[in-house]
Amino acid sequence: MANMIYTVAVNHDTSQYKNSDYSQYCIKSWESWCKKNDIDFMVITEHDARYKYPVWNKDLIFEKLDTEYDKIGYVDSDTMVHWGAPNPFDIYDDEFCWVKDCSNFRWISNSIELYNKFYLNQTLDIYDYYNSGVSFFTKEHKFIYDNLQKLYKENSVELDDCATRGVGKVQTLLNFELQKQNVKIKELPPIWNIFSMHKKEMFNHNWQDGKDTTPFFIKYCWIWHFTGFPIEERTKIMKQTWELVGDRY
Amino acid sequence: MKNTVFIIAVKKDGQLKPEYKISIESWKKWCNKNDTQMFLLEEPIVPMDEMHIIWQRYFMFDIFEANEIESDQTLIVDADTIVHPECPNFFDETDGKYCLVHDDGSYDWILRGMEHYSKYVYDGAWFDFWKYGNSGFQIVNNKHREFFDYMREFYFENNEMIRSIQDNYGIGTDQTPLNYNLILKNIPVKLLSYKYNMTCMYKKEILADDMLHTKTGWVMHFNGLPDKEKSVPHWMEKTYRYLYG
Repeated sequence: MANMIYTVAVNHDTSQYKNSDYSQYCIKSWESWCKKNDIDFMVITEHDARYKYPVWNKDLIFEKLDTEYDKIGYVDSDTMVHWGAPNPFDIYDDEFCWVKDCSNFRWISNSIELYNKFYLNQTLDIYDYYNSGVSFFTKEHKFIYDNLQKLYKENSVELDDCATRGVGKVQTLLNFELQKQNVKIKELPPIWNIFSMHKKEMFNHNWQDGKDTTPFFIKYCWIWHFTGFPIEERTKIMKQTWELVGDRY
Repeated sequence: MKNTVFIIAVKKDGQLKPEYKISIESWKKWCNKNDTQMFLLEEPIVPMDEMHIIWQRYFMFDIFEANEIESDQTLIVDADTIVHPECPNFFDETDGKYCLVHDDGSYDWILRGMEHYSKYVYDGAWFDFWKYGNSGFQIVNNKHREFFDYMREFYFENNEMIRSIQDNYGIGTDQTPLNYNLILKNIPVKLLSYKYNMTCMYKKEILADDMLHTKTGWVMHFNGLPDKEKSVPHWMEKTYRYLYG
């Protein structure tokens, strides 16, 4: 059976910046990579009226599929994939796969504190916390997304209010939900979702070498996640990246 | 046999930095509570212009032998750390392996270091950068004596090149060669949680007046701070007072 990767790229009036301004580079890179690797690629562009914020649309993936896929990958619309990245579907079996997030423990700590009220009997360790911008899973994980839809339906007003507090909208909930359901996790190395690149100084290159000016994130990572720096910079940096490597796809 | 905490505490111009005294005080208290002995290296083994003092920690097994110190496992920890009084006994988490904590504070610094050493010393060898550990918190045991001998031999054999890399590229002292040598010598390594070596706390956004850094982990490492001549003593003193009164 085939595998697929999808993203959510919705222009919406709740977003400060127009999604398509930057997601065009995401889509170009993923479309090309998926074609090369014989993987289906889907872009969700329509917002579902059940939700206030477009990020929740990603939980509707199983509703939108008319084909049954064994394995599914979700990528945020501010990611790009390296043209030569290996196939992530080859590196796991039945686990839910994602990358640990340890870039800003203050944000994580505040987010866990805020969203804990939806998972009252749980405690989530900041060192067991993952970034939801890139994940790989299987059809058996459908119930996780069903549960999150149900959670939203029952708590939409409160969840939409939490979404305005500056500590994320869906990431912490997914962390709680997977912990609650005791889902088998596979922690992927950061090359599969390199975020906060500015802070990690991954945009730099070896400036002492004199020859190779390739930025470290391009040289050493497979999935580049343009987040964790001022959002007004995002489109510019993704555009620059595409201009630098677009001809390799 | 007891475990040991080993700290380099060599005085500069007859003085030990006040913040290093703070670090040592915190570790003394932790050692007392956890039935662990402490060893301070107060004099260099070889002149420091021959070998940077940081490299001299790889004399540790010989120092212990010369001083008739027996140690089961030893933590070699930098003197710009403060241990939380409630820190669990990390010696119970080592599985007998060489333990470090991953360093992701500045991949620019780390990757430049890896690239330079790969090119000039290790004949193009490479390893996964997410397995790179910070050398400011290392737990070893007697199985690692041979590896320490090798680290010193490696230093003296490559002394000139190591000094040249240190001086020209500013990418630290022993940390990158330690990582390479562990990989190339197939030493089993266990990477412990960040909470046991909280490097670059400023970037992790936990070092602030609400003292979040004291609530998110156990061994606070005051490196990677801007304006370090002022900020390191400031934060170490403030943290010690907050935790120990």
